[in-house]
Amino acid sequence: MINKKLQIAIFDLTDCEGCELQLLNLKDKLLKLAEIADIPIWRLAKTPTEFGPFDVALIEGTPMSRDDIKLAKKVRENSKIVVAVGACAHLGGIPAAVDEKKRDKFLKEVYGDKYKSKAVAAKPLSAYIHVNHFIHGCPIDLDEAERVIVDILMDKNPVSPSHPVCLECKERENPCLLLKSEPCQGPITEGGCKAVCPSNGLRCWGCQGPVKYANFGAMEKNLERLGFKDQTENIMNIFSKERDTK
Amino acid sequence: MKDILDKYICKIEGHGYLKLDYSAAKVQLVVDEGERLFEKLLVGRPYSDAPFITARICGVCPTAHTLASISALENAFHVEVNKDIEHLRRVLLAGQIIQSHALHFFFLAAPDYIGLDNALEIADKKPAVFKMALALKEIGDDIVRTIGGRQVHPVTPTVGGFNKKFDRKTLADLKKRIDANMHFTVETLDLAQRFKYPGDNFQFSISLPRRQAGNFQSNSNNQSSNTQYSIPNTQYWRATQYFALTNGINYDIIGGKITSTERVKADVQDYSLNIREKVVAHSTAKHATHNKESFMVGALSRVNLQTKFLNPKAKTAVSKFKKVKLPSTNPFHINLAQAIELVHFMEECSKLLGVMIDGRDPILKMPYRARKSEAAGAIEAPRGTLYHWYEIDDKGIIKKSDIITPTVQNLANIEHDAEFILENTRKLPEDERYRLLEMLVRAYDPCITCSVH
Repeated sequence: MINKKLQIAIFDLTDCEGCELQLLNLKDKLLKLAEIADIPIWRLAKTPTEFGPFDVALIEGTPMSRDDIKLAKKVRENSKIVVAVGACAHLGGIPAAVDEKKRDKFLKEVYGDKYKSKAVAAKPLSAYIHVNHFIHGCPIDLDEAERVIVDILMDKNPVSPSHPVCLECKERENPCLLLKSEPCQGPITEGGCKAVCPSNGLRCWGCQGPVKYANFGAMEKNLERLGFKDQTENIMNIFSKERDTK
Repeated sequence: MKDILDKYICKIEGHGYLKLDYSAAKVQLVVDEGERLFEKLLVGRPYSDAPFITARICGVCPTAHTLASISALENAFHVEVNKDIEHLRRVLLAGQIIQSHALHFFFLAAPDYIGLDNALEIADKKPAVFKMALALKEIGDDIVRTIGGRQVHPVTPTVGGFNKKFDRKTLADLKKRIDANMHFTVETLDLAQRFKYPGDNFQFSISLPRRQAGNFQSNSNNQSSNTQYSIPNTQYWRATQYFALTNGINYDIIGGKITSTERVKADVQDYSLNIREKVVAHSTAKHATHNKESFMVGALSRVNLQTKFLNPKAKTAVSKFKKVKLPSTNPFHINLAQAIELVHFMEECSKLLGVMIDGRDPILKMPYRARKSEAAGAIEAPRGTLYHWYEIDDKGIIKKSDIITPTVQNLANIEHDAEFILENTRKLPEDERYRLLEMLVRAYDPCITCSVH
């Protein structure tokens, strides 16, 4: 065993950087991590030092620009383990809610005819590279982030909860938002977020991604019944990858 | 790979780099984020999606976007909120500013002035400073978590008020925690006013660890080699116009008029007449100007325009400044202004919560009816005035939207200040000139993710 600290690098592609902030919000736990690992690259927090090889690369954001995609591929080549951090890396996130067929039209409307765009499309990280593990949510939950990182450091495979948000919502004795005719996505969304949105009166948006065995068809019917037929695509957009393959 | 990662300015929010012509003193701040097209992806969705979705424009100031979005929608539907809601929103927004300022001041900007590279080095070499940093970041997070439901991307605020009820005890407990941490803000301001800001005393004097411009290089051995450069007898600083929302009564962050140091006074609904965006070839972010001139928004603008409305502790501390006089035209003083605002907004939170816990449990939801209309809303985000505008149809669906972020308003000014520095530092070695420019960009606290939305 060479006496070298673990090399953990943090990268951000196109996104809001909220998940990176959540990692910063680990605060003193981050200092503990720094005792056993080097963080050679974290653009938001420091001047970068050496590029690779990395034991673990945490990648946040949606690969949208050509540079994003190039960087993601290069990080993959230089890393043993790649973790997709947050809904943007995991699912494409809010940026993937844009109708890609209209991207060129929208670009012209926002930037004018002569503009040369940088983004090609908003897709999950796994559309371009192999991802070993995921930290879910928009933004990521601090407890899950800590658990996944510790599991990886201990050579364990982090395991997702595999129960819907509803379970955690019921645990907190919240009144059901679907029964209040809100288009809540809790039943088909992976838990682990402590049902933070419905617990504060906001419907679940599905940012943790689909739960195992999610019944998309039933949710579609439910939305129709509640009068959201026109909005079904907007509401369920975040699950589009899994819905398409069903 | 270095070609991609190496070029970006580190310790700022988002991906940007400088394109420089040293001899001609020309600067372009190239903004390199992918276009996420937020203004377009809102179209066709119900209005109630906007506060949630627009928060995702920026993870550093999501609460500001949510509140600006709500402000625009409430203006559109003529919703008048009660004092309880207004107060709690001010506390929430002040908490957002504390969060963002604490993060930026300590973790991104302060290392430049202290002569270290990053927060971990501060933790190692300046533990007392790091303790202040953590305490202030935590209390900011605490305020936003308690009122907003989560520290990043709030869940409680909604059109007409809050999704959640708060009792007086929750608010009283929060006030206690704020008061217990108040002294850290005063100590932070004391630290900030002792920093050496480039451009003070009519000279650029920088005291920084020497590092090669933009190179990957370990900085472990370089901290002691501080070098002083000074250029006397130049005209400092270039004049610019400072914009913020003001109401003439107190230090405004929600609901005032668009105001500038050159006597602009305009209603928020007329924002597009005063703040014009244009597309620039080198940037995925637009640049905003007023009468074709660049201007500044943010902490220094607010402090410059409203020094007299600062809360008592902040005001007292400012009056005792030895070196800096307000209003200041030195853009590096943005970082000093952030420290001033840390004191001011902690006092503000304590004051507003003090009023709220004296009465009954607050009522935090107003009835309203969505209708066909269009309106703008503006609030003071950590980095300056943030405008949202929506057109809503008779079914409550968003037809059009427009968002102007603070950084879009600052970008042209950053380039002009950078060019000014280049013009006045011709005798300095190139790598030191580059370091100064990076430091300037960081001082502005640009939110590049926000600027491309």
